[in-house]
This record gives sequence, structure tokens and C-alpha cells, in this order.
Amino acid sequence: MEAQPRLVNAADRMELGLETSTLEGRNKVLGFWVFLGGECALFASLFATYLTLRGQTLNGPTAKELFHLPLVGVATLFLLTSSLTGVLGINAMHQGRRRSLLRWLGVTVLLGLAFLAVQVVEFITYVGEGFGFSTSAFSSAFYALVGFHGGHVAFGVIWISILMLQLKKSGITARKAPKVFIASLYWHFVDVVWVFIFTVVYLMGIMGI
Amino acid sequence: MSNMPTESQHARGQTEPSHGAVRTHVISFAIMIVLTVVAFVMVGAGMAPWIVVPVILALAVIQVGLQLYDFMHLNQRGHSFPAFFITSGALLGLIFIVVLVLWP
Repeated sequence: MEAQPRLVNAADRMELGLETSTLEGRNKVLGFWVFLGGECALFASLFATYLTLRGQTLNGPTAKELFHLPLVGVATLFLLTSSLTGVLGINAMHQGRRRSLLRWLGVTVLLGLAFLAVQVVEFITYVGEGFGFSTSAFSSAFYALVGFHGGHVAFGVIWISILMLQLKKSGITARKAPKVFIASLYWHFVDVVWVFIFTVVYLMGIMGI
Repeated sequence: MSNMPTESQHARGQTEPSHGAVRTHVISFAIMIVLTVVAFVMVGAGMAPWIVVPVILALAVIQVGLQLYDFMHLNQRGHSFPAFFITSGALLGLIFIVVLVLWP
């Protein structure tokens, strides 16, 4: 048995979810938002680098020649849907339904893996077309930004999978709920970053802007 | 956010199944998909970039707002600090972008 975590007052416990029912849980959620602030700064600098260097293709392929709308669309669909299944998982957790929570988290992980598979195929295709990491300043900036996002997705997949194993063992407890909640915050954040990537990198790239 | 009162009502009754929250999430998701499809179609149709670029950027911002306020629960009680924190960061970022774009 885990030690009983400290509870905050009962009114708040009812008002909010189980994830904020303890002081530890509240601090975890708050701290995680601060972490996400740091992540914003990190991705902002990668975006800035990309926007500065995207024109410097050094006789290599340009964004317009490389990107394919359908492939990006499929990847986007996978990630957007995984964001919905993630929040439905949190909803199941708020109702104390462990099996439902595990099912939604499982679907989220599978959709994350599907997204990664699309991205791997995409990168392999690009390399085949003579667009490697060091082909041009544009290619380096592109792989740094999009690859770093893909790395975040991979990390999220591993993280949520481990949480699923823990949930199977312990069930939904006041100690576990904040962990699941911040993992879902992370997952939605990764989706937020992707929204800007498909808009700024892919859609604007295809338009030749 | 106009759906704030209903959201907190649903969060209150934890034992009762919160179908209202599920409904809100599914509606948000449907809006996100529509916004994404609109952005892709505009680019696929080859419309003039000076129209498309501002529109798809605006669509992205709306979509991210939905993610933050609905999926990440910023619209619920007790999230005023994270909401303030993220919004002020976004505003600061916006100011930087505007200044750098307008820089001669």
C-alpha cells in the first residue's frame, strides 16, 4: 500500500478532479504547466530557426518539391484523434472507470505509434530523394524541428505505456491520478505543437511561402 | 469561454457519468477536424497565398485555443494561474513576432 497522500479540503476535492485532490497532485499539475512554458520557449526557438533558414536550400530539394499534402493530412488525423482519445481517458478517470481509462490510453498510444510510422516513412522517402540532415540549412532546420516533435511523440508513447502498466497494478488512486493527468497535458501539448508544424512548415511550405 | 458553468457543474458530480463533458470534447474535436480540413483544402486548391496564410494561421490559433481550454481543462476552476501563465507567454511571443516582422 502507498502512503495516504495529504488531502485538500473536501469542497475543492468534489469540485475538481481526483488529480488535484492532494497538495502533491496540485503542485504536480502546476509545476507541469511551468515545464510546458519552458517547452514553448524551446519549440519557439526551433520554429524561429526554421523560419530563418528555410529559404537556404543549397541546390537541394525545396519544401514545395518535397511535401505531400495527403501524407501530412493522415499524420495530422492520427495525432488529432489521439488528443481526443486522451481527453476521453481523463474523463473515464474522473468517473473512476479504470478499464475504460486503460482502453482510451491504449488507443492513444496506438494512434501515437501510427503517427510515428507515417513520419518514419516520410523521412525515409525524403532521404531517398536526396534530402538528408546535412543537405542544406533548410534540411537541418526541418529535421531538427519536426524530428524533435517526433521525439516528443515517442517519449509520450513510452510514458503513457508505463502509466498503463502502473494503472493495471494499482488502479486509480489519488497518487496515480496526477501522473495520468500531466501525461495527458503533455500529450495535448505535443498536439498543439503539431498544429503549428503542419500550418507553418507543411502548408506554408507547399504554397512556396 | 461560454461553456464554463456547465463544465464545472459536470466536474462537481464525479460519481455521475459526465456525458456533458464527453459531448463538449467531441464537439471540440469536430471543430478541430473541420478547421484542419479547411486549412488543407485552401492550400490544396491553390488559392492566393496572401489570403491563405493569414487564414490558416488564424485557424491554427483557434484550434490551439480549443486544445488548451477544453482538452487541457484550462476552462475549469482552479486553473487561473496556468491560464494566466500561458496567455501572458503567448502575448509576449506575439509581441516579439510582430516586432521582428515589422523590423526594417
